[in-house]
Amino acid sequence: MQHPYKTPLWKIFLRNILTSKINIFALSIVCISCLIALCAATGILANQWDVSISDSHTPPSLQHICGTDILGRSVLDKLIKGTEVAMSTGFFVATLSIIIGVVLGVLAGYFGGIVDTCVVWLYSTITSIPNIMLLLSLTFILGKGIVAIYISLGVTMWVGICRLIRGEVIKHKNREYILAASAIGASHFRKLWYHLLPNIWHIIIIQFALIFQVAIKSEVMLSYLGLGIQNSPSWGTMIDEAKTELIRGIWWPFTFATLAMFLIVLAFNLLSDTLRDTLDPKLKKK
Amino acid sequence: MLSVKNLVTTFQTRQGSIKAVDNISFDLPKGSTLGIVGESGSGKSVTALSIMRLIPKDTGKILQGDIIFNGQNITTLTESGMRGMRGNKISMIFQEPMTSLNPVFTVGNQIQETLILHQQLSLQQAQKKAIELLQMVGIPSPEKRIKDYPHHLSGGMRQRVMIAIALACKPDILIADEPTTALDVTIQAQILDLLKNLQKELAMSIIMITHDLGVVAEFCDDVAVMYCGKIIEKAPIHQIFAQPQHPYTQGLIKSIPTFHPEKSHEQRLSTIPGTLPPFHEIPSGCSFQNRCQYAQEACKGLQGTPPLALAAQAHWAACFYPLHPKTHQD
Ligand SMILES: Nc1ncnc2c1ncn2[C@@H]1O[C@H](COP(=O)(O)OP(=O)(O)OP(=O)(O)O)[C@@H](O)[C@H]1O
Ligand SMILES: [Mg+2]
Repeated sequence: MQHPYKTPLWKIFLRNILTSKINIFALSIVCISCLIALCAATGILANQWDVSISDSHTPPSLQHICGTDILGRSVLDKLIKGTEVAMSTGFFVATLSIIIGVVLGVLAGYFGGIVDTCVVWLYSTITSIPNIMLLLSLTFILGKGIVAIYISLGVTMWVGICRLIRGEVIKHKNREYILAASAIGASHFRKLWYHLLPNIWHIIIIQFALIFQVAIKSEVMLSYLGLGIQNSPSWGTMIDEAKTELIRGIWWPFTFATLAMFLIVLAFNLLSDTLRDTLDPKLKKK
Repeated sequence: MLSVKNLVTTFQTRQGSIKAVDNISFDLPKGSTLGIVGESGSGKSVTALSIMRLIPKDTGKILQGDIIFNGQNITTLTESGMRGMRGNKISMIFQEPMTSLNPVFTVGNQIQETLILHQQLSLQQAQKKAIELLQMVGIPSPEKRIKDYPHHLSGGMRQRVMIAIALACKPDILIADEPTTALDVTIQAQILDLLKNLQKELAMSIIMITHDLGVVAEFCDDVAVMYCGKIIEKAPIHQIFAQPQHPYTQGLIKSIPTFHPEKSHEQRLSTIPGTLPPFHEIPSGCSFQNRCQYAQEACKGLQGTPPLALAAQAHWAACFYPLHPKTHQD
């Protein structure tokens, strides 16, 4: 069966982005970071990051824009490699938690009853455990490494979106248009997929952007605590190493890593605001 | 065409189980219009939803009764069989045109959906048909309008769109649950006219649910008056206005505002005293006894609930003391 609905919302989104300088800035940051991450992942950029190119702790200069670290490795290359880690963490964690959160939230909200009870019990249990302890125990179980980070962040961060989606679904399923959809003979699947979900897409997309940046921050935090990535540089480990470096006046690895994180988190926050302005049907009517 | 027999629909509530529809029966011949009137909460919508089999499953259920549509008992139909029925053979329009359309899709999309669901039309065919349908319900420049979102349209326009959706597959029965309550009076009249014309054109039967006896007088062939989930009076339209049998019906008719300027100071609008009792406090015997000026001992439960009995020709009333009894003998 053909999909009868085509709404070019992305056009409105692009228009909203392009009419404000700050949004253009945010979108460029995100695009550039994606590009850097892809290039780093495919080995086009920074594939020599672990090779010593100069003396230990060379300050930034024209030759080495961001200076070098304790082993004489380029901080710029490490930042680029760190971008790959950050962006992939953001992407996989956001995807995983959105999938879990949306599926559970929709099922709980739409079907109610025992399904709802189970889902609510599950997320109440998860929220009742302090997040950091949950993360720590999960990384202990899964071992260290990037995949462990994806999974442990993913399975802890779906709670917020699940709760949100459940509430929205409960709100929408009692709206008359859903009843009207039943009255023309739509199935449960059709009501959920074609009628209800498009009304809450904006929440999912906005949450994706928000979780993306929270995941980046969390990865930095976990790596800072020594639970993160082991054999690839991450902004978190760079900030962690700065604990001993800063006191000796070696400011550059810390500064650049923090700056990179600041920029990307800021950009995602700005974008999610624009997304909300574009997508929320309540605001769209203006 | 449609015949409902001894339908009982119950809901689980905190006060226990209530019979929102209590043992009602009626027939709807082909091409005719049945009005269902009653106060808010008397079970009109639940009756409609029962026929559509859209009673919310978590709290409600059709406890007993048969709904025979074209010789087929739809209470025993499978869920997928029922889906093929809804919007195709039996359609429904709702009270609130403002919220019955999905805010994120164009009206064209929403009309096409019914066609695609039931008639396996291609997108282009459905689009063409959608334009025709909008034309049929009297929306000007339909080629442009199909690209509009619901919030671009006024309430009357939206109700026309709802009608277009409901009639897209030329159903045999249209259930209209207070289709004009949310609209202002002039638009109301237009919508009713439209429905009447379309009814002739498509030869369909209509169940018109309303609490407005004026609408019933203009629109229906027969009326069923509901009170506390029961049908308490059922008769052809002219009879019910001329000789109401049940005191409740009489009260309803008396409370229709009439315009007689010369008498306005002597005649005050009459109202029925009291309110509909909550379902768990319905008295035994006649459920109207506490508000009835004619109530007597027999109404208070000793003789059970008054059954819906023939009080005059083709005129049924559930009252021990009908106001204008006329048996076959006289
Ligand atoms: N989903 C439900 N759960 C529990 N009780 C319900 C439900 N739907 C309806 N009822 C009960 O059924 C009774 C009849 O409701 P119904 O909606 O049929 O009234 P109505 O005659 O259509 O009134 P109105 O004119 O306000 O639309 C109500 O008093 C309500 O308590
Ligand atoms: Mg109703």
